[in-house]
Amino acid sequence: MSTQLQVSTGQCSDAGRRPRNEDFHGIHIPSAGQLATKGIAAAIADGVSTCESGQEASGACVVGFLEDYFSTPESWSVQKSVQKVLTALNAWLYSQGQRNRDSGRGLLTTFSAVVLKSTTAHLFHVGDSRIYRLRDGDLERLTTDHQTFIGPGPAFLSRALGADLSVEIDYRKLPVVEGDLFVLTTDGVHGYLDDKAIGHAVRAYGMNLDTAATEIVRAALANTSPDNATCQIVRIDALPLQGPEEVYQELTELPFPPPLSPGMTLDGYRIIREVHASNRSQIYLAIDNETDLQVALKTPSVNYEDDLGYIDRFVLEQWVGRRIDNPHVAKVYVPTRACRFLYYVTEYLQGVTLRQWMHDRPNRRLEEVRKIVEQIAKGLQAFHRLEMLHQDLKPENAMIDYAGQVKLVDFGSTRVSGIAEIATPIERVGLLGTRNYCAPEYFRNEPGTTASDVYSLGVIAYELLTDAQPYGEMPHDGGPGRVGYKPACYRNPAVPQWVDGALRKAVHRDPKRRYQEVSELVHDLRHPNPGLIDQTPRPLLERNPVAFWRTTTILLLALVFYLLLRLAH
Amino acid sequence: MHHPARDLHLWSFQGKTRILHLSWCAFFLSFVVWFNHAPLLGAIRDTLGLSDAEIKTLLILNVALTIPARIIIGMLVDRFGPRISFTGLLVAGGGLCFLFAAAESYELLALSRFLLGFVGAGFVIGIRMIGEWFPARQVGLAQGVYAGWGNFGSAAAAIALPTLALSIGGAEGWRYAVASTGVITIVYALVYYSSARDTPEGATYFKPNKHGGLEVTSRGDFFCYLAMNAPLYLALALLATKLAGLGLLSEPVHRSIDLILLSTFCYQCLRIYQINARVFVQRHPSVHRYKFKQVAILSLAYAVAFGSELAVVSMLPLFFQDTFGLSSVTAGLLAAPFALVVVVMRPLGGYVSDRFGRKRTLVTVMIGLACGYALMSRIDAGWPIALAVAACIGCGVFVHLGTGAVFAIIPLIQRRLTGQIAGLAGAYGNVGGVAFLSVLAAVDTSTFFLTIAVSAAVLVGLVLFLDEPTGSMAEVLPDGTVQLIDVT
Repeated sequence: MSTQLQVSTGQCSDAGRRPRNEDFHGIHIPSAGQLATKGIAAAIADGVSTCESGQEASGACVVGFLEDYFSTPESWSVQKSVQKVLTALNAWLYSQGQRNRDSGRGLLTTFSAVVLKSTTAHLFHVGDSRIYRLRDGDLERLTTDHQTFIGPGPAFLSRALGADLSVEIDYRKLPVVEGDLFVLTTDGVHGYLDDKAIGHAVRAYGMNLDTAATEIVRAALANTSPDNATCQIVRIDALPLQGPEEVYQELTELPFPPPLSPGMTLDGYRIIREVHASNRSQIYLAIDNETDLQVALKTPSVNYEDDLGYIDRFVLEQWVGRRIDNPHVAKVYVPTRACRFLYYVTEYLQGVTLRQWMHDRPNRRLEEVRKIVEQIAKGLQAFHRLEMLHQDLKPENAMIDYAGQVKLVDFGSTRVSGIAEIATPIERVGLLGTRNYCAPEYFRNEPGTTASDVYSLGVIAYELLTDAQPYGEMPHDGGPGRVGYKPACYRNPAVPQWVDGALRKAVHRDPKRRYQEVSELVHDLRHPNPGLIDQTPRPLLERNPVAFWRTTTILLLALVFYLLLRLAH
Repeated sequence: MHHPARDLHLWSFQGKTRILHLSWCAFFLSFVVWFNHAPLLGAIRDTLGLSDAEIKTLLILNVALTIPARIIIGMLVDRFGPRISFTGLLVAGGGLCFLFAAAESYELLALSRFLLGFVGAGFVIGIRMIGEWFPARQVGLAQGVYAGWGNFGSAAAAIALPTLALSIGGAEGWRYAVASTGVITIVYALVYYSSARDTPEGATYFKPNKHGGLEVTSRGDFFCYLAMNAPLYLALALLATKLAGLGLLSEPVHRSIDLILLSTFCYQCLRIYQINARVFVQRHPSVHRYKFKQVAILSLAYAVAFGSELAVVSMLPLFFQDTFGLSSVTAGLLAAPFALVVVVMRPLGGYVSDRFGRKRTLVTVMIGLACGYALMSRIDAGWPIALAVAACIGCGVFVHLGTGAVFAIIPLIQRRLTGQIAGLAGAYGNVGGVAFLSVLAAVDTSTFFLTIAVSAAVLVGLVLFLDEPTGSMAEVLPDGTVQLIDVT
């Protein structure tokens, strides 16, 4: 059965005995599209009442969070999206507070939020508001109060948004099941109502959560709570588990196109000729009948018509291409007409693959290579900024046109953090790279990082400069192969030592000792980094081979004469 | 309209066509080595003084090891890649030729022939290689060419080897002929190693292959699959019994072989259960569901078609020699056409089945086989030789049309399981060979041909239960527009 994430909510907030209500709360349930990629967000905030603009702070926080979170890219993971949003909000609150420092009107607030995406709850928390979970009748507190006790008196808030330029936000993620309830409260409630009472109230009014929330607030206020009291309850009614049948139906909805020949017309695209065909896919040059634009049409190979993982990746490739708009990444066009087959359309690139270019130009200068590497790096950065990893960078996946511009094509192996968070019945294959260019951590079943893309770029740079692989040809089964790095300057004397040092660091087998960003590699390829130059004294054999062999020959000659003399006697 | 044949550029020597040429030559040589005994059986029998039963046992031994070898070689290809696997196979096969050529005792002869059985599994390696290099539109044709042109290695052996043996001279000439095939194979192995590449540059090579069993999609299919696995082991057990009967295997060795076969069968069943346990718990999604009976029928059809080819190619030169009193050279030349027609017939089998309907083609092929072999069972010394050869050629045509048709249908059952289904069918092909050769060892030649004819006739009935695989979902209108076929 295919369902979407469904929740029931209940909220109540009361100023209580205070003149103003400095608590704020909010829930946003988006429409279907964002429901899958961004999920549902509920947030509660308690403005610190020693400053007069507590209400301003908490209100700005919750509203800002709910608006900004749903504007973040769909490819970002929940954690990254929320952290970016909260960091920005914190900085804004702090700067507003600084401005009002003299009048003592700082903007501080606690903040607790639950983001429900797919089958996981992501919790973000700072301050002394709380998040509880009620499961199977047991109420469990999921957050720790950020409070310090200085003396026997009341506790002081030790962390809050707006208190300092940088703030540490507690993050936690948990799987959820249907029937789970999340209860968010401010200290006006949980300071004066113990956990048991809260749990009891929720269970008692289970059907109508608004009533439950109201009841909790009322009980807290009745219990001499002097503070504002706010309670939010979210119950998971249905989880978005697509049954296998649904997913498969969705993926196989569009049939594979038949083998195409020049002259055929597919959905308004007239085929001119086949550009490239491999055992995985075919690419045709086509003309859009409506706009007369030349495009490249990519169709899947029928070899995989029942391979759901392949179809999933093919669709993902299109999804990724549509969201990246960068001069160094091939543009995927959004179709204007209905698609009746499974294919997608990209810009047609007049050029050759980097591999072909390497064949055609055997003597490459360092500057040429740098320019190419820089352009690939710019394309990769477009991926990384959207929290996507390319994962299959190789010379065959980069096209260079006659003007020398490099574009990345073929993103079938891309890992999108935001998509990977969504539970799916399809088995996602982890290892999709190409033998020599795939970073070693993938073979150890570790997840990839931006450093893994750096590795691939490093191997490409090495190959552009030396026509060889840094560790030799890697074995077929993905084993470690040779572990000794062969310096590029040995193979190509034109490569300076500091460039070799940068390459060595880029293809280091340990991802933590590699560059973490492609921009760092590009920088070190242009600016000598003294830290990378190998200072160990080289042996005589390498420094001055002639002297070495001359000395050896003389010594051997002497030995021969001596032995001859001995023999003569 | 682009026909795959027209842009296969068979006569170029670049890129994927180069790989095709390199691979079919390698497969061709593996077939030469696999059947380099068949045209020389007369000479071998004379020099070593072998009995009829011993000769026929040699024939069975030759095709026995291929059955398990296919799986092992499949694993080797996954580990080392097709290039290294094929090189290793050719070098090992060439080396074993020397062993066979130098054999003075029947034991060594039998052992080397038995070990040479694994060379027959080289087919699998080339198929993988071609699958990596060719796009979907051309891969069927490329694999048909590979199989067809390689298969006629046995015919080439039949033509060339007796003449070679005679020219080197003496009764022992056959030894030098066999050894020379070994030399050629080893030399070519080095050529293959240096010229071939596993994948087009930069292609991915990390698809993890599930070994140990096929994925089935219903409970009935599960038990059917278990049952289909049994004959693979029974064939080997049968051979072991024959060898024990001949005194080649002592009782304890025979018993331990039976034990090994039984335990391997049980282990295989366990693996199949592990892979398919979910079939008892939940239903597979509809896109993955397929009927195992398709696999079963195709495997049996291949057992008859390819099995009969293996059996007949092994015994035909000697049969001609003994029946018509011909020299080994002439017998070899006359027996060759049976296998020679594969060059055209195997690719044609795929084409015909795509064009005229798969079920229809297979039924016609089986009827043709039944008639052809029934005719061959009537061959005796009184027949004009030309007629006998014509009957052989007629049989050969249907045999190879059949093998081509079966292999063209296999990918249509479930694309992602093509490799494994092909593996099962191929194993059955060898089981068929072992079975028919065992029949030959038990009865006279005429009954042997009749048995094949009867098997083919039975299969006509079975093939009628085959479901015609679904055709393409799209059609092309006269003006070139591609559209979905209206399924009303």
